[in-house]
Amino acid sequence: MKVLYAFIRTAFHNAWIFRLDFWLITPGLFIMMYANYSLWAILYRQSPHAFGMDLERMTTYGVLGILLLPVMRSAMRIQYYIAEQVRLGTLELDLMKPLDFMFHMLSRSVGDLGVELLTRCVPGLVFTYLFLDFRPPISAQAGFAFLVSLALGYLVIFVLSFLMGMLSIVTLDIRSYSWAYHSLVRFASGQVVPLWMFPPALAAIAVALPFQAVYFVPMSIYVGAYEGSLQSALLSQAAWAVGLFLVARLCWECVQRRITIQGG
Amino acid sequence: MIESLRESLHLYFKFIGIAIRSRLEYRSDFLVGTVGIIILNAVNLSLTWVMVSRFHVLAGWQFWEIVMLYGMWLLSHSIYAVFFWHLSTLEDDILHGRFDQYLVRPCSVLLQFLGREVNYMGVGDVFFATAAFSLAYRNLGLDWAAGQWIFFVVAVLSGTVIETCIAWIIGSLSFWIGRSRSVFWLSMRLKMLNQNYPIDVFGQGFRIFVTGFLPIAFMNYYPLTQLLGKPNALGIAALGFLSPVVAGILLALGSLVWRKGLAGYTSSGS
Repeated sequence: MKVLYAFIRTAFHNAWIFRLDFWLITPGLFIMMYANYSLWAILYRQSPHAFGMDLERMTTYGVLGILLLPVMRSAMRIQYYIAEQVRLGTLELDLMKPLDFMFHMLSRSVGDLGVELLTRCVPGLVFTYLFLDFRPPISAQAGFAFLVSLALGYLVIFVLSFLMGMLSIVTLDIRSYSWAYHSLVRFASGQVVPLWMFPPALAAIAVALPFQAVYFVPMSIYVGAYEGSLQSALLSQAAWAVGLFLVARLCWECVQRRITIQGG
Repeated sequence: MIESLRESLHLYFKFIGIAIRSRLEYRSDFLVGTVGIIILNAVNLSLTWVMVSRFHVLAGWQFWEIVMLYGMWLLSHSIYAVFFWHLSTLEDDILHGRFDQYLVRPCSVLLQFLGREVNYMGVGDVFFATAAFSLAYRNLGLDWAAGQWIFFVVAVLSGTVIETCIAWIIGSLSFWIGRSRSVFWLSMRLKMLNQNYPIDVFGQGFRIFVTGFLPIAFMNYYPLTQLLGKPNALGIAALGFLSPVVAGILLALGSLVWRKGLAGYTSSGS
């Protein structure tokens, strides 16, 4: 807990140094929320029957996808951190810390998460609530399940990004994979377009991938569109988180043995 | 003036030649990178395909028209990606104090910086963009006259200048704010919206934003409405012809910001 607290404090400290960021990025997110909101509103007007739900729930889904972007991004950044440490040859400093490496990375991303929540999500929530008809979760139970599901989704994206970071130790440059990875997350996670709008064959593929556990499950629980019981949703997310964690652990053990530190 | 310009260009190509040779040392990297970029674009475009297969038309735009919108954007982008992508890494040079090395050589700082790198991954964009554009051109049954092709080429090149100048301005911001990475991230997300959808699907506020503030709609949307004979979202027909003008304005703005930033530059000292 103390470690986590220390990382959160450091993250806020860093954010304070680059505080102009706040004034540029947070309004930018507002613009994206507005864009997504109007996208669904315009398409809804074009064909109201293609949705199977009311307009406000659909726009809430669209806006939520942007609102959660900074949350998940704090975990996705871990791959760049690892890649940068590898490139500069400073990974050894992290390995020397009396902390498990994976736990260290998780603490680092949770520290960033704290900053993102406070500087992006809270203002974003106020903005959407005031201007974009943002709806609360459909029930208290759904709200609670959403929070649990969000936490599980966060773990899944963290472990996936950690694995991407591992790739950088093996191949030294991950830029092109990481772009492909980002676009895959954007597409298959249902962050932009919900999976129930996918053609059946594509939806079947997306459901079988871990990415839907990141955005789609929590978001569809929030708007009450998840087909199936909440328990099974959370269980499948937990299964992905644990399964991927074990894979990441295994990879880390293997990779650790082949790390070469480029001289200082 | 002309003489110095010629000399500069000569130097620039020399730098680029060196950059290409150093890149060719990593052949497998090139292959993997190109495949990565092609996957990225295929995935991006499938997202649009999902939307169109659901709604048939998006605010009056059919599937192949949107593919053309995407292809045109990507063509402009690919030139930017190959030669100017590293503008987004300017902050690293500044923060880590590597920028100083450009200042001590008797040669334009901008030229050295731009000539430092070529990004082979952009080649994947060129392939994909050409394929997407040709497919769309055939499927839409288009038959452009020479004048329209010239208009198209000018628009694509203007698009490159627009994207490059935006990156140049954002990159130069790091002279003042230190980190501009997240601004890049944001502009990339906004560009993506513009690349995947005609701006008709977004609200009026957004349309004005990508026309007047971050003028990325001039990269593909406005010239293409002109070429396809479609009304544009703001209903001002003249916007279809303005891409080169916007490119010129951004170029002037970019060089202003860059000069100001450079003049006030203090080394990070590390």
